[in-house]
Amino acid sequence: MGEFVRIVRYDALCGLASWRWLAVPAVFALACWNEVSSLLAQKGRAPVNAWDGPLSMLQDQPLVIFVLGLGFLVVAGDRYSQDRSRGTVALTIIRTRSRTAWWLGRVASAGVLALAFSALGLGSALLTSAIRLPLELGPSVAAQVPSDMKGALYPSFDGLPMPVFFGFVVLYTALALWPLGALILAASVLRPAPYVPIGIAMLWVLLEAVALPSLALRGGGSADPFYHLFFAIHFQTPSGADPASWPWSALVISAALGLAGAVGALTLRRSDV
Amino acid sequence: MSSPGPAVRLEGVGKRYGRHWALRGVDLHLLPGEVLGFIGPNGAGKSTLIRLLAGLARRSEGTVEVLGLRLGDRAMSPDGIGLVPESPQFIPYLSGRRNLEFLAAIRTVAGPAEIAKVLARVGLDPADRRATRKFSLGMRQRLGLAQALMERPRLLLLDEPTNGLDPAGIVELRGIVREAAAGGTAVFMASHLLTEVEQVCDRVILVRDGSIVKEVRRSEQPPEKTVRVVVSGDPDLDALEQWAQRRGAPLTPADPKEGPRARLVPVPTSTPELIRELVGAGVSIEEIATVRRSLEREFLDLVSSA
Repeated sequence: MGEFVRIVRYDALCGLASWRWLAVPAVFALACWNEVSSLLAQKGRAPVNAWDGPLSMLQDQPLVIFVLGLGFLVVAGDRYSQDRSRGTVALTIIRTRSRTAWWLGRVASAGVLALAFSALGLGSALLTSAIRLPLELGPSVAAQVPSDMKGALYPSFDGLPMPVFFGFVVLYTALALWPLGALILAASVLRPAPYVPIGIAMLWVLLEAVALPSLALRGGGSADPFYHLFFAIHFQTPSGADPASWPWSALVISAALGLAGAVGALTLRRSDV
Repeated sequence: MSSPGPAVRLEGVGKRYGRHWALRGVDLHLLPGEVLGFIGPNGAGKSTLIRLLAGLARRSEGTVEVLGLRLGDRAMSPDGIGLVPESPQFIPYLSGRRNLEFLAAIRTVAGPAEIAKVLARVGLDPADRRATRKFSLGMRQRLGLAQALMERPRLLLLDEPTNGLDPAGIVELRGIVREAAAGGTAVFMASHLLTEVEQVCDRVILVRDGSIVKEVRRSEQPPEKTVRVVVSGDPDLDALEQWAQRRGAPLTPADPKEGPRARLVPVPTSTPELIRELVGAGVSIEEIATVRRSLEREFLDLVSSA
C-alpha cells in the first residue's frame, strides 16, 4: 500500500510538470468572463453574485465538453507518452515490484490531477467572477428563484452555504474528469505513439459534442462518462425530467476506471514500455 | 567457495520490431564486478539491449537472465538494477535532491544520507536548492547517474553516460564506474565515446546491425605494435620507403596534422631493432613514438568493412 501511494505521489508530481497547466487558469478565467458578461446582459434577470459565474458555466454544454473535458485531456491525457519519451517511466517502473501496481498508481494519479485541474480551473473562474460580481456567502436571487420562466441559473441543495456547495461541485467535477483521463491513459498504453492520446481525446470530444445532446434527450447518455461531468443531471430539471441517481454516476465512473485499470494492467504485462 | 553466477546471461537473444530485427543472435555474459562496453554505430541495437536487460522490453527469441531472474514473455524488471537512460529527465520544478528523495521513496532503499553522499560523489551539491530545469545537460546527466547509484545496484546499465559531460565529468565518471565495479556491481555501458569505453571497460563488444561482430578484452590489447616516425627531409622519406619495400612492412600516412613526413611503421621485431635498421638504411629520424592500435581504429575498420 505504501509503495502504491508513493507511486501516485511521484506520478502526480510528474504530471504537474507541464507548461500546459499555465493555460488552465487563463482559459477558465476567459470562459467565466464571457459567462458573467452574458449574465449581466440578460435584461430582467434577478440579481446575481460571484458564485453564479463558474456554476452557470457548468450548465453550458459546449463549455463543459471543450473547456473542461478536452482541456483536462489535453493537459493530462498524454502523460504516459511524454513520460515514456523522457525516460521517467523507465526510472519508476524498474523501482516498482509489479507493473500492475505501477499502472494502478498511474490511474490513481490521474484522479489527483483531475482534482488539481478542477480546483485550479473553477477557482480561477470564481476569482474572475468575483472581480465583476459581489462575493456573498449565500446563493444569489437568480440562483434560487425562477425568473423569466427559465428556472434557476443552476440547481443546488437547499440551505447549503455556497462555499460548501462550490467545493462539492469542484470535487464532483474532479471525480467525473478522472475516468476520462484514465481512459485516455489506457488508450495511450495500447498505442504508445506521441500524438495518439491527444488525437483520440479530440475525436472523442468531437463525437460527444455531436452525439451527447441527442443521447441525453433519449436517456442514452447516462452510461457515457462525459454525461456525468454535468452536476445538474442529479437535480430535478425545470421540464420535470428525472434526475440521474448518485449511485448510477458512481457505477459509471467506477466501471470506466476499472476498464482503464484492467486494459492498462493487462497490456503492460505483455508489452514494452 | 563457489564463484558468483553471472549478473547477465544472454543466449541467442533477438528483438524484433515489426519485421525489423533490432538485435539478433546475441550471446553474452557479464560477471559481478565486471565492466562491459557496448559499441556500435547508430541503430546498432545498443539502447534496445539496455531496455531488454532492464526488463523494459521483451525479447523476441532466446534466453535473457538478469540477476538470476529469467525474463520471459511476461514483462518484468529484476530488482537491483540501476539505469541511466540516454538524456534522463526529472521533475523540473524540484531540486535534484528532492527528485532523488521522491524516486528513492518508491523502493525505500536509499535514505537522505545515502542521497547526499551519492550527490556529492557525482559532483553535485546536496544543498543546491535550484530546480532541475535550471540544470545544464551535464548536471542532469550527473543526477541521472546519482539516481542509478543511490540504491547500490547489483547491475548498472549506462546508456551514453558521457552525454553532455565536460572533460572533468568524464574523468569522474570513469572513477565512479570503476569504483562501482570494485564494489561488485556489474556494469554495462553503451557509449559512442570509444576512448572512454576503452579506458574503463574490461571487455568491449562491437555490434553492427544488431549482432555482435567482435569482442575485445582490454588485456588483449594492443594486438599489433606500430610506431609513428617523422623523418628529417624528403630524401629520408625515400630511404624509409625503400627500407619498407625491402622489409615488406607497409607504411601508412600518419595523421596529416603530424606533417607531410610522418609515417606509421609496423614494428617487425622490436623498437630498438627497428631504429637500428632505419639508421642503417640512411633514414634520418626526427621523432619516433609508439602508437597503440586503438579500439577506435578497430571500430572504424569494422564499420568500413560493412
